[in-house]
Amino acid sequence: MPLREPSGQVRLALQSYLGARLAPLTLIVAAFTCLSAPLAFFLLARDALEVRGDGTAREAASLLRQDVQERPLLWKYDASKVVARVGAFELPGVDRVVVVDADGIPIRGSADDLDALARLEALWRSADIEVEGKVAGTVWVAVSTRALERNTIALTLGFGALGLVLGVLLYGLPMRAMGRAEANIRELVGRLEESQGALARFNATLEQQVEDRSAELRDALEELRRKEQNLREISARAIRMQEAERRGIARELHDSAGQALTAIRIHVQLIGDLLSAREGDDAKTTTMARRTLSMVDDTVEEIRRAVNQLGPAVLDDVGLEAAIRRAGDDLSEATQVQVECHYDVAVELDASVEITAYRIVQESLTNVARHAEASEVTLRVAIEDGALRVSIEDDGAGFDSEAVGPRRRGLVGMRERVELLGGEIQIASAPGEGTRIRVSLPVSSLE
Amino acid sequence: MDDTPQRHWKPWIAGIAVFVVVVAWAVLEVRGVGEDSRPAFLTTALEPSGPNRPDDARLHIAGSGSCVPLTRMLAGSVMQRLDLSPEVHASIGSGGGIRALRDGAIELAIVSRALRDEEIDAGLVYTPFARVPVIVAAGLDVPDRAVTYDELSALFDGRRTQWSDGTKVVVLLREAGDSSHRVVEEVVPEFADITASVRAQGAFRVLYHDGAMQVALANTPGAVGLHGNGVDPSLAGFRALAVEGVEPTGGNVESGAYPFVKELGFVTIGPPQGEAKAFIDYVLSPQGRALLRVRGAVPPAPEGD
Ligand SMILES: Nc1ncnc2c1ncn2[C@@H]1O[C@H](COP(=O)(O)OP(=O)(O)OP(=O)(O)O)[C@@H](O)[C@H]1O
Ligand SMILES: [Mg+2]
Repeated sequence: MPLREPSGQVRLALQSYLGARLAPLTLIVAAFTCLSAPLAFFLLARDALEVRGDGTAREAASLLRQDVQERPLLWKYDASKVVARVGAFELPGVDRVVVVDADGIPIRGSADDLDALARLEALWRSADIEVEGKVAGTVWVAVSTRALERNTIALTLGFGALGLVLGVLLYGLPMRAMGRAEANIRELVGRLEESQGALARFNATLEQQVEDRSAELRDALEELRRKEQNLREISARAIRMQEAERRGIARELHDSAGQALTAIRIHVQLIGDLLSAREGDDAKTTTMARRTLSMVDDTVEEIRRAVNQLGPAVLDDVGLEAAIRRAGDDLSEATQVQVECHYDVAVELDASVEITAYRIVQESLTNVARHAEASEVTLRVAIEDGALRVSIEDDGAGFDSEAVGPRRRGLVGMRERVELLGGEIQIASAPGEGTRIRVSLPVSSLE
Repeated sequence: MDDTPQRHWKPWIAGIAVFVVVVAWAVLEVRGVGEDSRPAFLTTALEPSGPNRPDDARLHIAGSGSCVPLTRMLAGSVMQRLDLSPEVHASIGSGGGIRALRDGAIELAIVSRALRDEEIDAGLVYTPFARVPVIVAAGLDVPDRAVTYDELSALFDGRRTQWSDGTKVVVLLREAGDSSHRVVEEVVPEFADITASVRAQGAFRVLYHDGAMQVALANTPGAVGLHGNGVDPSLAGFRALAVEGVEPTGGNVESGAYPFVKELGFVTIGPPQGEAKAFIDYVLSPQGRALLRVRGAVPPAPEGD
């Protein structure tokens, strides 16, 4: 059953469905109620009347039997007495007693008013007067049915009213209840539809909102990326500028202070030589000259180291791979540590990435030299998943990363350099288990 | 749920079918009353299927029960003397006898009342043959021997309920129109109203034939009733009370001293003929008269007296 009219109105038709089945049923019930009791009364009362009629007829017949027996043929002429005798049976409810002879002809005085008898509303019952096995006559008894009919009609009216009331209740009450239920259902369905509509509208807005938010987030992310990119570019540029400046300072140091000190050393050498040539000269001055020379040598060495630290000219000169290998060689030369170096980078790297990578290797190897007491160091530099991966592993003493002192700048500086380029750093170490440093620097964004 | 109109109609059709069947059955049950059981005489004019008369050649005599004992006695006597064998039927009343006569069922009617004008006009002839007293009969156990008119009225209207020895009075009535009652009513006018009213009340037992009355009088303790068929009460088992001090003897009847007298007669269609005439002639012959007198009846005065 379709739930909707073409108009869109909710269509249940429960009431008409119920009505179509209830109404005939009600009709039957009403008919039965109206008819059954009066009919039963009628049938029973009619039976009773028949029994009474039969009884009266039999009684009258048996009363007449002896008379008839004594007067075969002639009994019917004794009409007045016969009529008078059977007249005693005309009790309440018995309208007439008629005696007929063997031919069925009423005896004189018994049924003189035939028309009135024919009109009688009565039930006729009979009993034969039998004499020696022959029917000599018959007694007919008219039992009045007027009271029966009156009572039956009264009962029918009464029960008709009852049937009507029953029918109205039987039909009306369920129909009313069903009508209400239908109205409720219709209202519920209406509400359901409303809330469905509301839900649909809400869903639509929600999607729109999510869409909007996502778009905003996307924009924000994009903005963030752009800013990060900017930042990274700025950082890289800052690093490059810093490095350039450092290299300038280193060059200045090397070219001015270094050259001057070299000149000073030559002069001090000469002064020493001159003093030692003058015999007898006090040994004090000579010693001083030698000491000054030694101080100058130390200072030159100090400056060279500072120059090297400030500006890794080696990068500009030989490139990242060679610079790293040289750093490794320097370490093994200075400390007897075995250094293994794997380098696999085929792409052009940004200067800032190269510097950072080199600085990290430099600091790590310095730490190995200073703290690790390692026997073997493994260096790996490679491009993986669009990033430059650098790892330095040693089999030295290791350390507890929680217990690093506050003044230590090496590891912190490494982390800062990596983060400036948007990369990641892992420092894994424990006492007695060596140290492993892994760094990943993004390179794709620079291409 | 299927709401096609066709489906909607099915319960209606079923419902209406059941309704119609129920109503039709009820109507048939009610309408069927008495139609088939009505007696045929109400709807068709019926004709007698054969002759009314007994199919023999005998003289059939019937009528008033008051005449039956005397007539039977006379019939028995005539059979011995003449070549006649009349059959006297049990009482069917004077009117019944006359009707049977006119119907041809009998040849001679015996009556205890005078003919009506209409009957005389129809050519019926009345021949009186005896006068008998209507006795106030009482059971043999009743101590009383006589009644006055007032006492008779008191007995019959229920005012007097005890005989003189305190035993209960039981009144036996005959049906209205009985010849004995009519005789008493003519003499005691209020007696008609009294008996009519007690009959209507059903206060006393009513007997419809002389024979039945005779048996009831003999067998009912304290019984009293009117009886007049020429039979000797002492032989029948009851007693005749004196009325106003007069005994119901033949002499008192003939002299007119006894007040309640009933005349009995024969009725024929036209003047008596054939066997009927022979029987009547015998009854009115000296032998017949003598027989009547023996039975306490008074024969009519001989012609020419
Ligand atoms: N490869 C290593 N093996 C063992 N210990 C190490 C290693 N690297 C670092 N450490 C420990 O971690 C500490 C911190 O190192 P960090 O480089 O920050 O400081 P530093 O080398 O002591 O001083 P500087 O600031 O000059 O580098 C060191 O003092 C050392 O105890
Ligand atoms: Mg360090």
